Amino acid sequence: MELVVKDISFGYNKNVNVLDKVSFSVRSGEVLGILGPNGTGKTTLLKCINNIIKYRSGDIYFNGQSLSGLNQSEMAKIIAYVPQYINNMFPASVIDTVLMGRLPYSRYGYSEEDKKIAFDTIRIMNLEKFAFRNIMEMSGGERQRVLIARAMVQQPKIITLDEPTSSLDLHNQLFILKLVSEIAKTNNISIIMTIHDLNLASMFCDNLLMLKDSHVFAYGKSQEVINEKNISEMYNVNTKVSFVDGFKHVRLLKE
Amino acid sequence: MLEQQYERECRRKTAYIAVGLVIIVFFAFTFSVIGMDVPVFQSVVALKAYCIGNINDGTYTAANKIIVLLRMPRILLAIIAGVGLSVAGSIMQSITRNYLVSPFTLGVSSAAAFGASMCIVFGTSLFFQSEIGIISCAFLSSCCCGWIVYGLANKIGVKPSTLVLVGIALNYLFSAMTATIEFFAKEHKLEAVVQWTFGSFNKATWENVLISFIVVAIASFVIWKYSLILNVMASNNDEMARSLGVNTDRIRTYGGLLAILITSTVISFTGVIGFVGLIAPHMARFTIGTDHRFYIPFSGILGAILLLVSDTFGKLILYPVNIPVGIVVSFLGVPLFVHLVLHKSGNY
Repeated sequence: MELVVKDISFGYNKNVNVLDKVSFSVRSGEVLGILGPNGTGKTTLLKCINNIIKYRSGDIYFNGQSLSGLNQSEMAKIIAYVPQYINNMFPASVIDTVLMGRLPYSRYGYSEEDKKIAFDTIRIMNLEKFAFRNIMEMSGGERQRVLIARAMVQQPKIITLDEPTSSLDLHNQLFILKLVSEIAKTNNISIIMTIHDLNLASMFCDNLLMLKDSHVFAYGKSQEVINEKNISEMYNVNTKVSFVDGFKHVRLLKE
Repeated sequence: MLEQQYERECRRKTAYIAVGLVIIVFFAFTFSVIGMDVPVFQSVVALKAYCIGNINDGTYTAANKIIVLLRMPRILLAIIAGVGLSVAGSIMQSITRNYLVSPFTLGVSSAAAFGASMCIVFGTSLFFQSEIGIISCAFLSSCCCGWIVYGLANKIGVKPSTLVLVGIALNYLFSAMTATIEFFAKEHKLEAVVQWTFGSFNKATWENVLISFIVVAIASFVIWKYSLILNVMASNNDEMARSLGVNTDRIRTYGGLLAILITSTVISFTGVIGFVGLIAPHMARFTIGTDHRFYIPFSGILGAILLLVSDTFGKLILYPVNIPVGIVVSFLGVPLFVHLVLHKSGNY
């Protein structure tokens, strides 16, 4: 199974393109990281893939079939979205939040199967002791786990995550990324995530897509894309890139 | 373990709803015979006699007539209005994700008041001077307001902020137009306009009850059927809701229009009864949580109890003066609401 994004362009106003002919593909079980400076359209690209915003031109194909004709509910069965943060005005409990992932399948009432899928996922994600707690009373890492659990309950073929490790401590960053790559491998789900930390990207992403000035700047295997030249051109900083434990390690230089 | 705990939680919420329904039935029977020297269940006897057409026979003929023709329609209209305004308030708060929104935020009540005052002050024909004329004008005017709100909001996308801001602007516009009419109205007509805006169940009839029951029951049931979608709408932003398969613009439009239909119907018969549509949803959320499968019915039940108690209280407190329910509900509701905010907002 493969998701192919072909020449996607999008702009919030007519004259300026936030994304300009962006193309890439992701296979099942693969983790793709999207890198780039702030404001290059990483989150916008994720929203286009999820059909949250309508792209101006280009198309997205899943298994050779265009996704542009699908309605919101059909899309939700194929692609799930995990936002950067959640700020609920009317917060729900963890169990109710996770059950929301079954909405694309059950719009008027949860079946026994829906509940079983949700309860099993809560157990897998080790969220049992929080199950009846208000999601807004949880820490950032726990909340992120709940949102990933909800995405899994959607039983999608692709999960997109918007900066899943932002505002998390080192332990939680590692925990969430391990979890995500485990989900990709064991459930054969494609993962597309935006990420800022180059070292974490090197460790957990199979492929990387670098965006700069609305265009694809570099795209390929993580260990190939991460190099001093690319980083210098993209972020305008000097770095020292070395190999540590089989992964590229980026060290920021002062000058 | 998790499954059992979840089922237990659902049963607990269902029990709240069941107890609420029992309280409504108990209050309805008690209030229908309050202050009368008749048996407690005389209302059942009176209703039965009315249905089989021999209300003029039996021991308590006068009491039976008072119960069936005056008190029962009034009590039932209070229940229907309470349910309707609270359900409308619940859905409005959920689709706009705003604590401060009530069914009246979209300007519906001001528009209804404008329609009613137009009819009272300028109506010359027999129709416009009749009760049905005032009800029709209030209903049409508030529906027009809803249509304008959604028409304008549609131009720039049906976003929560757009709906609220356009609604508030129209609220002020219709209030200003009503004030203008009142300014130029003759004294006896001005009194009628002011009486209408207080909101009461004084003019309840079986016909009013039947019409409002049909509208409120159908619209509330449709809203309740969409509970799972409303769960997502209330606790996620639009982008997240869309990624879960919800067409947010469509739900916001249909939900808002149903709220407008319920509110317009209810206040056309009762006049403006504010506050209940704002606080009953909050009280329900404090008690039962945000799962709309339980929250919407419970909110309706709390609204019904609040209006039922307020109306009876308004009749008894300064007897024989009848204080309009629109006034009493604030006096009774505010302390209760503040108590809940102070003691339960941590779990909200």
